[in-house]
Amino acid sequence: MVSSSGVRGAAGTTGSRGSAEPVLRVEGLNTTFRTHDGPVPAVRDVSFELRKGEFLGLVGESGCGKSTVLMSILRLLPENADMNARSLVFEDRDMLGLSDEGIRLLRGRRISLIPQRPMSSLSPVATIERQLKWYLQRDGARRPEELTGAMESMLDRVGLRAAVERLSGYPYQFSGGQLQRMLIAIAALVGEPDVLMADEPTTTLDVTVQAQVLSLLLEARDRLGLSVIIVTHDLGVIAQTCDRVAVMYGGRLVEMADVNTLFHEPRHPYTIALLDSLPSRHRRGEPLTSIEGSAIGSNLLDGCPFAPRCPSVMDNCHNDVPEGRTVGETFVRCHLYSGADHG
Amino acid sequence: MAEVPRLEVRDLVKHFPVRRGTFAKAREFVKAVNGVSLDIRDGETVAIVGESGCGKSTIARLILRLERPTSGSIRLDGEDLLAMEDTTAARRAVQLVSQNPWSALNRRKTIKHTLTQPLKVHNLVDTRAGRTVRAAQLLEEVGLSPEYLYRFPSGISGGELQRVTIARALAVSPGVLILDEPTASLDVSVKASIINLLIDLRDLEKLTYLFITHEIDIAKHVSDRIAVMYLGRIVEQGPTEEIFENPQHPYTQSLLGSVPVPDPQLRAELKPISGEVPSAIDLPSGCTFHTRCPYVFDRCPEEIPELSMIDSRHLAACHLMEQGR
Repeated sequence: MVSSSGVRGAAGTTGSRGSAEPVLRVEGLNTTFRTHDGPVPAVRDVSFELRKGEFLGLVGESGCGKSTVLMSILRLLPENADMNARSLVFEDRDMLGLSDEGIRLLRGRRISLIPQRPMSSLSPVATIERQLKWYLQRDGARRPEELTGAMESMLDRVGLRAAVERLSGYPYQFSGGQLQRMLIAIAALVGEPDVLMADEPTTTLDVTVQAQVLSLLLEARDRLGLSVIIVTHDLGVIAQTCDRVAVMYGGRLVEMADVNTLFHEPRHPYTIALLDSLPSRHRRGEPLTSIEGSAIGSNLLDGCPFAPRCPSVMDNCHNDVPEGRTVGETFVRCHLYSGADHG
Repeated sequence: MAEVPRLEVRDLVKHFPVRRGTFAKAREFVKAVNGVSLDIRDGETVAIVGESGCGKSTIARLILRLERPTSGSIRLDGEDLLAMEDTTAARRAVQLVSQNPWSALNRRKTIKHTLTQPLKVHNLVDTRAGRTVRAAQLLEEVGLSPEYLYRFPSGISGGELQRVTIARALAVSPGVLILDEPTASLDVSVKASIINLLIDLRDLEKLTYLFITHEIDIAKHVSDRIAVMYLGRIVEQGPTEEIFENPQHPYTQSLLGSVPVPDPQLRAELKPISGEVPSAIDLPSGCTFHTRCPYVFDRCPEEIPELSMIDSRHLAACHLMEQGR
């Protein structure tokens, strides 16, 4: 993988990628944090599947629970979190039935995570060489004399040939973009992962470096046949990389569809408002469509979490959580679509 | 036509010394701003865009007199801002809205204190009661109800806090607002309402904006003119539409091309430029972009390109322009 040259994006293949076969299936996921102010539900009844070879986007604002979904699947939650689900299946393995040790053996080997902040995900006091060796030697698969070659080929494949001479350096001596490439190499190339989870992988990077990292991720998917979940709040990143998109608000998954349908036929009032607020959908200087209020506290509401801000709000929205239903090709959780047959 | 620009920045340079030890003499300098000239006319919104470390926020700090420039001049309505002895007047004329409202407001003080303090410091309203009334008016101008006067920043959402910092900036009736990434820390659904507010206030109060941002789509939406910075220099400037429709400098082209378009039907092949922004301590020779430029040729590492005219309002600093490719 050489990322510096132009890499084929997913142009022309939107929505068509990914076989129907799921590699990861999440059903009825709930995660609640115990806090001094009482229990705070962060993820509420979230269900989705990740299909083989697809790029799935999980989009939403800060606090909507999108990162917690990833951490719940990976069992990387803090002490004060309680998680349960109706089912959580990776390939044909029931992840809920696995011991902590069993999950640990999946993590980084079959399901990998690319974290948001590369700087705080590497040890500040160990050289890059030592840290890469930790991962490469993890399963005792490589003989010591093979390590240098393995490290070089790994860095080369993520476009970091220049870092090979600087292996004795510490993380602070590298840029954010370089560290994020190293973490992608660790996540994608050390084990043989089937699933790559990327938690806001480009949020702390400059836009020209973001383009490099995204094209590297697309290439990893293509070359290694990975399935990718990317968590982001950036609708541009979603539009340019994903096959399917799940929109979260207040801990709930409110809409899910293939990327073209979602951007051009959004169903949920939140998705509609979010897309309408984009400057690119307005003439220069024209007032943007804004969503009044804020999302704070929406995950505590009994009814639809978007009800207090929704332009189409009805009486029952405040009290009843809408059922999820399929409208056309779209999964949507909104009372506007209940009752009538929208199939 | 001898219209005096509201703000006139000439050959601005700021080098920060790097000291390796308390008493060590600085041997190296972070060359944050390297000869920037920019005019902002009355009522105009000029956006400075660029990636982290390009010097855009340093320019804001220099105009606000939070830093002294190494050399160069800044004039406000024709008057030398750096020589003004009365800093109070200078501060009143140019106000700041910063990126992070959580750190811009004092958590231990009520919103009322935050908004009445500038009125008191600048002797704008004599009585305590008068200041409270004015503070309530300011809140109304930014779309918040007077009940916010008695609240503390904690428990107020980011979007609303940003409205408070805008109200505080407006308290002293400045002519110029420097907006340093005013929406960068806000959620997508809140950004739009802050941008709308800024546009409304500008038109209502006849404000002049220097809008500093890395969010290219927002710069495009609000600005009349754009200046693109790379490693402390303006590499291209011109009317906003012109910059987007006809970008001339290879860096501008790469920067605009890297912004992901939020429409899957306009999905384009990602063609990222290689490398990252070099260190501002050891600037590349000649054109500082030559280490990443796809069109680099022998002249680029040798000579610094001057800003040259593409037309009367559109300028770019690239040797390709001079060669008339």
